[in-house]
Amino acid sequence: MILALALLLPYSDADTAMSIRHLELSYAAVLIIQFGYAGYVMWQRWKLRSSSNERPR
Amino acid sequence: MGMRKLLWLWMALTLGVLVYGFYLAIFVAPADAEQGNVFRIFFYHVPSAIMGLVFPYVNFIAALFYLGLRRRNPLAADKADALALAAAEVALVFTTICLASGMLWGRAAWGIWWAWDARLTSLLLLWLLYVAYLTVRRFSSTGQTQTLAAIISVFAAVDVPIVYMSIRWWRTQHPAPVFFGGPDSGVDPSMMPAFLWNFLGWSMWGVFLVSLRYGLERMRQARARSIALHAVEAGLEGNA
Repeated sequence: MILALALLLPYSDADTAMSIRHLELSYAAVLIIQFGYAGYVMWQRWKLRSSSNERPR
Repeated sequence: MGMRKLLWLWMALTLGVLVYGFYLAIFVAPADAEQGNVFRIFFYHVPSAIMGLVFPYVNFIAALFYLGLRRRNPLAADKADALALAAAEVALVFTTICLASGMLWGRAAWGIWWAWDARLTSLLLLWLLYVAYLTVRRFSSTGQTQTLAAIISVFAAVDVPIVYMSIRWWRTQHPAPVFFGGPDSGVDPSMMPAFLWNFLGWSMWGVFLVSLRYGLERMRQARARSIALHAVEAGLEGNA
């Protein structure tokens, strides 16, 4: 997606290399934080569910 | 339809809305005349900020229910506590994104990463309160963890209106309100569809995350009850 942003974003006269880099970085931050958190919770659910058949000690 | 299927269906629908919102934000909405393309951060910065102010109230109300029910109805109090914890984590996720995207936007638009103005500082305080809330939940072993955390929820709920009103009460480096900020506020109508679809998508994503995390916490509570029950049974068998 970041590559798509860099290649496909319609160019504006007000753009600078730094502003485009910051736009890409902020999208990357959104993806990492949101989907990273969702993935972590799903993994915890899976771990708990897969151990739920074991008799607790 | 079971709750699990409904949850995954909701996730699929949400991802569809988010992809469409992304398409509108990047390829359909025009670039800002002054800022250029970096303005497109707006399309998820503002929805994240709104979600970062809504979920603290879900956390607060659930914490109040927990405090009210913990002695009279412990099983219902457990549900309220699970919702409070889920909402707190999701509030932290959205405020983190709001702070991170705001700093990146600020560096590109103003030339600075940070300013100690009322909006940024009050939002940082809200973020720190939720870090404190989750630290208490994770490491406190007093037996009063949920009650201590609920008190932090009250402080967070007091901070939320200050965050919201800060750009109305004081002159700040942060821009004036885009919505509900008087006759001069608002965005160009050509940008509204991208904003509304992204707002809808991130709201649905927030509901999905809270539901997902709530389910995990309920599973942990059931497991903890099961372990406690087995320990009691083992103790009784040992005494017999």
